[in-house]
Amino acid sequence: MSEFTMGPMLLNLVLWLPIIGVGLVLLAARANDGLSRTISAAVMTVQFALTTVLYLQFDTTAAGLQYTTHLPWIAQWGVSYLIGLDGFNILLVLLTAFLGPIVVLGAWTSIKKDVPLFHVMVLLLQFAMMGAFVAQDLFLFYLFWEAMLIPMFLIIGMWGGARRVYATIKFVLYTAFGSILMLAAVIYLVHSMQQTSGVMSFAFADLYQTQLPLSVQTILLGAFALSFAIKVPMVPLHTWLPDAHVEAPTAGSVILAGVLLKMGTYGFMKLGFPLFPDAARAFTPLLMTLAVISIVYGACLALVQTDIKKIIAYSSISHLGYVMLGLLSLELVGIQGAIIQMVSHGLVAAGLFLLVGMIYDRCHTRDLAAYGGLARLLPVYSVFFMIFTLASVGLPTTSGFTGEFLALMGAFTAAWPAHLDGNNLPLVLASVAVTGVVLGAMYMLRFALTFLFGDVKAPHHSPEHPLLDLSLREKSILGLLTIAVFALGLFPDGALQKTELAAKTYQSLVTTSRTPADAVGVTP
Amino acid sequence: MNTQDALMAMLPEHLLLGGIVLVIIMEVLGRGSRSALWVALGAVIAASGAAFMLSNAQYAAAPFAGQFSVTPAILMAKGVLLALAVPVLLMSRTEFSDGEFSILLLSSLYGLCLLPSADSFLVMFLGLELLAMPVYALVLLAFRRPQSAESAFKYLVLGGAASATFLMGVSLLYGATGSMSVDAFGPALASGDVMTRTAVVLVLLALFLKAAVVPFHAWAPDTYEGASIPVTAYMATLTKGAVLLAAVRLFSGANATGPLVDLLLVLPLVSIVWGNLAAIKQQSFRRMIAYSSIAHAGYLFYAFLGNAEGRMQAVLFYVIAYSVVNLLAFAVMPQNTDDEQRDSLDALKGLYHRNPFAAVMIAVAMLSLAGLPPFPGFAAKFLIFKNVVAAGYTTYAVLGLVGSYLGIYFYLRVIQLLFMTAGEAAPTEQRAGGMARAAGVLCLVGTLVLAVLPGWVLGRI
Amino acid sequence: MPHTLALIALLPLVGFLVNGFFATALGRHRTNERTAGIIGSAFPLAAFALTIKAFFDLQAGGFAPIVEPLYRWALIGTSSFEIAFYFDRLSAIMTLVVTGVGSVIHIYSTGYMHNDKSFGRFFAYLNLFLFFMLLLVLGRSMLVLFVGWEGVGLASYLLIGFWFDDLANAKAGRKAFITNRIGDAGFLLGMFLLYRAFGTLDMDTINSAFVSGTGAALLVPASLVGLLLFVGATGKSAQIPLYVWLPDAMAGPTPVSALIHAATMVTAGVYLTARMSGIYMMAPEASQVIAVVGVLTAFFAATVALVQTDIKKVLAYSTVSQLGFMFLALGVGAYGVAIFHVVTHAFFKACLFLGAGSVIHALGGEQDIRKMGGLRHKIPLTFWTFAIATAAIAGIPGLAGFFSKDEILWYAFASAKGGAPWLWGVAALTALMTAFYMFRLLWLTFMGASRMSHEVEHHVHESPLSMTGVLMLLALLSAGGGYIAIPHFLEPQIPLPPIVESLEHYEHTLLYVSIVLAFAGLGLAVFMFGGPASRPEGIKQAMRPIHRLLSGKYFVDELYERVIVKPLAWFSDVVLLRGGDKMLLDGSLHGLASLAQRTASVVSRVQTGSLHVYALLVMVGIVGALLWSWRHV
Repeated sequence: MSEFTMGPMLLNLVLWLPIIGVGLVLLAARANDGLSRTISAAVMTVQFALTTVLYLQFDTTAAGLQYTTHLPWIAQWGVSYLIGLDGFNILLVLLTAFLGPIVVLGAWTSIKKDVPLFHVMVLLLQFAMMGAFVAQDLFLFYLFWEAMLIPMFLIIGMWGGARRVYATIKFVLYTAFGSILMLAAVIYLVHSMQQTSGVMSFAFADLYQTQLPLSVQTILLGAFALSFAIKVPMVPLHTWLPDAHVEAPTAGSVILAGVLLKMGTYGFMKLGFPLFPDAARAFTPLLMTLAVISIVYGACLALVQTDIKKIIAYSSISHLGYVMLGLLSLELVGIQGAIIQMVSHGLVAAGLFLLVGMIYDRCHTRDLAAYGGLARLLPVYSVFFMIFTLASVGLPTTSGFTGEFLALMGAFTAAWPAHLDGNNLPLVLASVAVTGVVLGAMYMLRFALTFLFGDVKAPHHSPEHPLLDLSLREKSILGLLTIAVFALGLFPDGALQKTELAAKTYQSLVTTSRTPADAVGVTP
Repeated sequence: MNTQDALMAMLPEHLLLGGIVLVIIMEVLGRGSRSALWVALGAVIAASGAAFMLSNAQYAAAPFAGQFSVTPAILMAKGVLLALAVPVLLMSRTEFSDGEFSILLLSSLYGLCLLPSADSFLVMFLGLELLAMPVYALVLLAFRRPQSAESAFKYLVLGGAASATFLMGVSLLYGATGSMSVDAFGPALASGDVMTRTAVVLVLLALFLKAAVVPFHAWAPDTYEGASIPVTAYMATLTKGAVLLAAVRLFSGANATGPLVDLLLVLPLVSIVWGNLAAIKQQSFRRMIAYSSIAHAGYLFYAFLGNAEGRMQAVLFYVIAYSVVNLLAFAVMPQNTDDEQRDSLDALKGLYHRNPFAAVMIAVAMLSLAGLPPFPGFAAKFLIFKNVVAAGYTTYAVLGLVGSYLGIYFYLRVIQLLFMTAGEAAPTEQRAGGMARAAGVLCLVGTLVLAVLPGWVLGRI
Repeated sequence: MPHTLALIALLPLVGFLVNGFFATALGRHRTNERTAGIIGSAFPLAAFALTIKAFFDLQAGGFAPIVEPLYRWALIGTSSFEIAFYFDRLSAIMTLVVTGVGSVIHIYSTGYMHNDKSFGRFFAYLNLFLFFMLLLVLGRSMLVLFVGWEGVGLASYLLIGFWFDDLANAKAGRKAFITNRIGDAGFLLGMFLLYRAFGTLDMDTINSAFVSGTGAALLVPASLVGLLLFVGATGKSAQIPLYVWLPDAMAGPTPVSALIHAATMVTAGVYLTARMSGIYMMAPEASQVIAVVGVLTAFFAATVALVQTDIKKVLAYSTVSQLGFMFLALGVGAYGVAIFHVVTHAFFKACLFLGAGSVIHALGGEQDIRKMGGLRHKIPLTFWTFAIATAAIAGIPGLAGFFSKDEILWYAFASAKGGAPWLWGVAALTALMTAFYMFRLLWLTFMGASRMSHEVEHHVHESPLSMTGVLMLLALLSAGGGYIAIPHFLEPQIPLPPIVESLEHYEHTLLYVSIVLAFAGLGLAVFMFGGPASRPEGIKQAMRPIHRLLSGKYFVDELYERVIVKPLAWFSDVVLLRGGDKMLLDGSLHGLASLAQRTASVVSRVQTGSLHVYALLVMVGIVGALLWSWRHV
């Protein structure tokens, strides 16, 4: 096909829509809050609609970038405004756009103060996240990557819970530390590319050509990996997440779990590993171990939480471990699984956080022990809760299964030959990772058990003032997520076809060595 | 020399001088000091405009051989700095109703203009003194504050020390090379003999003193706190920028190599870390800015590592980015008759809910100072560290960046106070004056241009 | 019809959706109990009808397997995951049992669940279960099988905890789910290995590859795969060590126990092993393990059943025990026989459970057999059907159980593929115990004098036709089901193992022995419980410790609690959360933060405000710099 000529324009529109939205909200800020809500909802919806068009028009047979826009920006530094879609980001872009309206609708009633500013921040964040995904120029990517911090900082800090300031500063300081080292690495990488090839460019495509000695690759990957691993987050760099999630308003948690965390894994997939393939392969055992530790560690901690938001926060750590596992397997199945798992976790965690938020709006406590028997009280709510719980557990027919199944399968397919060659570590790790499947069931069902079953117990509920079940708005956003969850669980093929070529590209990039033949190259 | 060149080359200076004379006359005639500010503004804008035009015309000349010369680049630098003086004047409106301010500022600017053009140490010294002297008085001008006198005194004494060191260095250099030409400095950097080396070190330290690099920074916090807002703004931005331009002129052409380079590595790094750490504890906004400026002096001197080409650009770009946002912050600061009140960080608590515009502007300034993208501070820092890495000092680049990371915390703290902390307005608080806000808008425009089109700016400077 | 098989599976799903949306709280109970019941039963019946049609299609095709692709789930690289259905002799039998027994149990439930406030939800869940169970038995690829495998787990979770207002029921459901998940982890590993070797999960491909021993099959050791899959089977089919969930699963409504925890779902493991016989034929070690685990499970479960006093608990342990028999058969390579026992067991165990349900229904919820007795006159239909089923399971000659169990015993003894006299010995002893505890149950429930409280006794009534009709049907099958020669029907597909020649002449001896054992059990039970109550009491006193051990179910639950559950919680909470997250990680971070703060206050303390200090600082700076600059001249 690819007669789709207006693609680039459309992609730019998708990217910049939120900024237009910001302008509109600022104009409307004087007026009532409802208007700014409506505006951002509308903007997000349009954005999603346009993204869907791009997704449908996306040519699965073309390997490279699509809908590319390439304008010089800071010519002196070889920085250009280079954006486009490819198999790496298409699903994540779609996910981001899909969650946009859901976030706004989810925050419809729960955000009461400074509503216009809130929507400005949400839109800015949406812009930054979109940008980070579509950027194909390292400088641009870094810009968007960092730009995500501030709106999130304010969203948690202004509309968060009791310990919000601590949580949000922890979040920023954690993330910024990674970014600073990454910046150093970026500068060094571009500089040394200029040294060796004479090209001064930040375009990913060019950077994929750089030849660096293993020692340099190692250090640079270290810097990148630190930054990404904090975002993912991988144990032991995760302690910002529970606090951030617990204190953030529902919308914040949804964005955080739904999209922001994917930045880390996306970074690994798009930059970290392909840029420094040899170092990546050299450090696969370490990273894989960390990934598996994250799976088990997160699950174990989720098992003993008494704060319902923390349970989901820790489950995120566990679930993203599978993504890393899949990426590191370097098996097509695993990579594809990892990508699906990213999207799936985005949907499922978003759903769970929305559910938690909805009950929090009604009962104003996050203490698990305060609840019980909601299945009697709020049947509709409970059904949705059960669906997302099972999706999180990775029950077949849900997206969670597709992701975990393929990712684990990939890890195994890679591990078995290694085992036959006498290297048992991957096999051991993969087997340990599978226990996550059991632990996942344990903590989520513990949650469901106390939450839904037994005697009816809920703060602010009384026979004369019973809790209200889900409103139409709540039903519809959860319904949308549910559809997505099952679609990805029952018919993942379409999505997989979109990413297949990217997965192959990733595979070949990471598996082909790029150390200079004669190990020249500037060592730091 | 021909008069025509003399006129053209020093057109900005002449315009400033004209402004000074005009204001003095008006003062003498006792004609409303109101208009003094307008005259000053006119002079500055004219001067800066002239500088820009000459630079665009690729005008270059050396009217006084070996003493004073201009090139398009230098003219551009002058134009930029003079342009930055406009917001300062605008925000002075509320504080200084009378003419002295204008006179003193204009003469200080005159000195500022001399610095980048100085070919001989004499002119450079003249420039430095002319830059500093009026500021002593300016600091003193803010009678509101008891500390003002003390601050002015400290500034005077340490400034004097700086001048002394500078003269000492210069004379030694003259002794060693027998030339008063600034260009003698470059070669001297690498030279081995004790006298030259001592000379170079002394001159460098003098600049460090002026730019408040650790351990020669101590005067800055007290002085900044003592002075009134516009003066603090002026010191934090323009004087620092001028000193750095002087340094650029000194190093002109010379690649920073040789053993002495370590001075340019260690002390800046120390002031980055020191400044950013000390700022964490400050309760007064101006003291905090002082420490932040100490840290920024560190980044700026990093720019002198490695090759000469691109140095001017890096420094100038940084100075612009840094000054614009600094001025932005100062311009929108809510007024407050009680200066203590106005100065304490607590006065910012919950400002967003009282005065969203000011809060957002201050936040932007802080983020830019912290060097977070997409604000101009990031591009500036990026450029400097890019050069540092290119010069082969990767380790120091990393250390510098980590040092800047330490800074993020206290900038965020300001934002936290603005947005996340509840707080009532002090009874005396009112919004920044009209002209100050105008200044703020100017700076905002500048910030946006720098953020969106850094390439365009870089292409011009 | 092009999509018969798909339709068979999907019909119950439709039932689930219809009832789920309209007959539950979701749909504010729009449809009344009657419609819900009709819808709930109609779809399974339709599925049963279609299955029969499909069976005749199969027969018409000379029993050549029918493959029916539905759609492609995923294509990754070269390997594609197809959602396809597969209908051969084996899945035909299973499908018939599932839809057949399933349908009648739905009908039974319309009576049993009458006036339950969540009637609609019950039928929705029951239909959902059928859907997944049918996926399980009809799937061609292990992927589809696994979908069903986990799906039935979900359904059983929901149905065990059906009356979730009592947290204990919900807990039982969770226990079932998690225990199954442990097994599923093993299943997954096995599947991954197979995928690694073959790049596909189609079971027919894999089987034939193993049988023919082609290249790919050599990549992965058959025994390892077999064991991993068997781990999955132990979970689903309640074998040692993962059987613990099944007894608790009796918390669900009795029809559920009959359908899911006796007739169909729990036999999924047996089906899996039989379906994967290709692997196990090549994996003697794995088969050995299966046989031993099977026979041990059979034995221990039977011992526990001896002393249980809850009518459903007895049946539960008997189910575990019977499943043990099936795995014994699988272990010695008699796959067809195992399936045979699956079928007969489905008949008589369903009949028993439903009978028990009818009893409980009659007694208004009473389950303790010590509080029953003398019911045979009050609810005769229930009694007779129950008696026939009991005789069947006990192995009274001529009835269904006799044939299948006898064949199992025979192959356990004489199969050339791992049969051994000791296996037979243990199994035979178990058979004796089975006869004993079943007749004990029968006697305590129906015979002798009533031990019921008066108002209970007053309300006792025979169940409605919807229930008794089903009971009679199942009793009929329990009686005659043995004459369906399933092993021989399956033989063309799954051959029976050869017999060790030297043992062939024992066949009749063993036959007589097992007949004797059945009657011995009967006699023993009658002797003990037919006489005065003091008799069992005396024996109980005589072997108090053993009795405690048995009635305590060997305290396995307590063991698991102590060894696994508690330590895990402790480790997570104390070591990881407090030690790791809070102390180590956050601790060190806060340490760094406060360090920065302290340094900050130190450096800002230099700012004394006194000019002397500053001047001094400057001096020191200058002198220091100078000295340093002179260092190497």
